[in-house]
Amino acid sequence: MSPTLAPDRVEQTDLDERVDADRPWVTIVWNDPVNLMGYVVWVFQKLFGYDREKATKLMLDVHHKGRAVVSSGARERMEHDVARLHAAGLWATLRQDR
Amino acid sequence: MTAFWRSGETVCAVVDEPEAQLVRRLVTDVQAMLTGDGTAGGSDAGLDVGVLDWPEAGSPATPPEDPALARLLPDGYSDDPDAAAELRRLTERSLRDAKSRAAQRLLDSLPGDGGSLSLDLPTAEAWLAALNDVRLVLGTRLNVTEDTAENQARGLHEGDDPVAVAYQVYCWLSVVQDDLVAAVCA
Repeated sequence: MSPTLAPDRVEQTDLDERVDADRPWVTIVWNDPVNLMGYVVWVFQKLFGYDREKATKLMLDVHHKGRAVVSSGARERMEHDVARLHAAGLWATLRQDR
Repeated sequence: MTAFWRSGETVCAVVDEPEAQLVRRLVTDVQAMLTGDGTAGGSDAGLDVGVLDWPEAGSPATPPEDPALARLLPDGYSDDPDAAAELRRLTERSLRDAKSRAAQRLLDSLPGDGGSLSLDLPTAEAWLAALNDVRLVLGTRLNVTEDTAENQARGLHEGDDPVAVAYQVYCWLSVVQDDLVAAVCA
């Protein structure tokens, strides 16, 4: 608490921070010419527990659109997801959702 | 090399000696790139895949200079260099270790003279990751693109020069990995 600040300023700052903090982070997988489609589907199922249908749809999004959001949540969790995808050889990054 | 087949919780195949030696050499070379150990890896396979060679470079906060190693260890942020450097500083060593462990698990389960493979599922999954890392390195060295299959059909990668041989190895590994994925998913 900051009792020395004027109440209206405190309220405004809290609101701005909350809105920013509430925007989730997302993990993005990017298309690359080496990773095999079947392997990518398997990685999505293995790492995220997605069923084959959802994993295949995400793989096709990566392939056709160049990238796909594969998970979202807290920043630390997305950094963990990116690390696991890198360990599997996929090209992944994270960013705050827009 | 036979196709992989699934027997209960085990994935099996039969690999002949030259194939086993080739896989061992490639995986050992990529493992040496990851651990920064230039002394590992032999040249006795009788097949010159010299495109794997590249001097080790790079500090923990920046991507490796070698494009193939950089592909194995990509930035975690595409639009924030400071965050990418910080994440790399925190995680690159463990990523290198994880990839090196997968490579070692493959090497430990690969019979040196060829023969029967019998992999439990976690070991088969380590094979998938390790083979994929070899393909990423070869694919980067060979500048593989989405048009590669078309180039192959036009016969641009035939012959016995080192690049053509490396490309043929890359294609063979693609078939092996695809086959192993199918067996793991069966």
